[in-house]
Amino acid sequence: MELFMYGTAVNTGKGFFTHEDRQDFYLAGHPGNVWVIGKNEKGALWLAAKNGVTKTHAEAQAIVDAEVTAGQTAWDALSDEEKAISNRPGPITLPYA
Amino acid sequence: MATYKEIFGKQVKQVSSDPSAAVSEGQIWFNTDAGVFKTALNVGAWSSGGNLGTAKYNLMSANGAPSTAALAFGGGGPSALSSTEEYGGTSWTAGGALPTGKFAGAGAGTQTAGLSFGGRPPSSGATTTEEYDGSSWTGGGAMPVAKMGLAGCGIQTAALAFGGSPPTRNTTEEYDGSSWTVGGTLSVAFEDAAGAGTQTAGLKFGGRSTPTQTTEKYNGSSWTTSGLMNTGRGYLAGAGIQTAALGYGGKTLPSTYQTSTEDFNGSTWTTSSATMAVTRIQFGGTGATSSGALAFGGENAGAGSIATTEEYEKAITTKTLTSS
Repeated sequence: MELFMYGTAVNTGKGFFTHEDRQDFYLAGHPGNVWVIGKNEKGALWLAAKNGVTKTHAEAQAIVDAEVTAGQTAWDALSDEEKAISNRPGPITLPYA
Repeated sequence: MATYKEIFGKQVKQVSSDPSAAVSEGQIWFNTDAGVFKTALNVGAWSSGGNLGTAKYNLMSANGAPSTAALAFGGGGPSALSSTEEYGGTSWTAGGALPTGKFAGAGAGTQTAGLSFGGRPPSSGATTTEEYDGSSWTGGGAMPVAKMGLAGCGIQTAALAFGGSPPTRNTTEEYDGSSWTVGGTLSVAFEDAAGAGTQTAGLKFGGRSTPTQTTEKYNGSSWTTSGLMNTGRGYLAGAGIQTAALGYGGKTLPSTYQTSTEDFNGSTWTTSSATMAVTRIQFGGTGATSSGALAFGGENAGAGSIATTEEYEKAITTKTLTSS
């Protein structure tokens, strides 16, 4: 049985995910507005209610990879002083199960 | 097998609707309408809050403020920012700007009586202090030593600054509302740790030091070591008081970003079931108690600077009991 589903949805702020949501299903946010969501009925309803778009693991991973690459390019263009006070975005591997 | 009544001396109540949160914590009941056993637990969880107006990292906060009335100021984006933002429990609004852009400093106090101290620029650390009155910042007394990456706690008229760099320090300074004096010495020098509590009952935990899990308690004149965090980390944030604190986020060295939360009871740390939805380091945190905290801004593992906010709250949650 698959444990996760994947989707994109824009975090609109307060109420985007609630205390109750966090009790009902796994939720982890990633670059590119990608969300890894526990695969159950409440998780699916949450993504739909947020006007989210369901993605496959490969599609979600590709969005994250593109965002990370863009972030790394932007970081590489910073001055040495700016680099010293920030961190180069690193690769992220979305869980798959 | 023993029955519930044989063990506890009474039967499980049958009700047609769930009792209110005020009376249900720790109770077990049978909901006749739903046909299921239920219980109510006091569970902590992170939920989304209003987004900052500007994505920023290395920002400071008045870390004695309650999570519903937070103050965020300065930060990097990547240049030093002077902007201030005030949180009202739902959204952030612009406040008065710092006299100059500043990041990697520390903060104390509340939204209407905030304190900013240390930070950079310059790269050697700042000695400057600024006081916030709810609408504008004015200069305060200079710290005796320039610091950045330091931690702080307390209120505007009785604050504590500790640790920081360069070089990595174990010194403490106490503020009385107008001037700083030297306080006790920590057993471990560190930077990018978290602080909580008051000037006479302060708490330092985590940080980029060796080891990274250390906790120390201040009594107004000296520091003593306490229980180690379960996950040593730097660039974290904290909330609460010396006997009931919360530590969250940050990263283990060299680069594993954290969403985990730990509860401190005055002597030991326990890893909470509550995790933040996104990783963040070099972010702002606040919370007057360990039951309510805020995490805002910072750097995300893959995205760099972020504007999102998460709110931690312990709340009575009704659960349906299952056999599995």
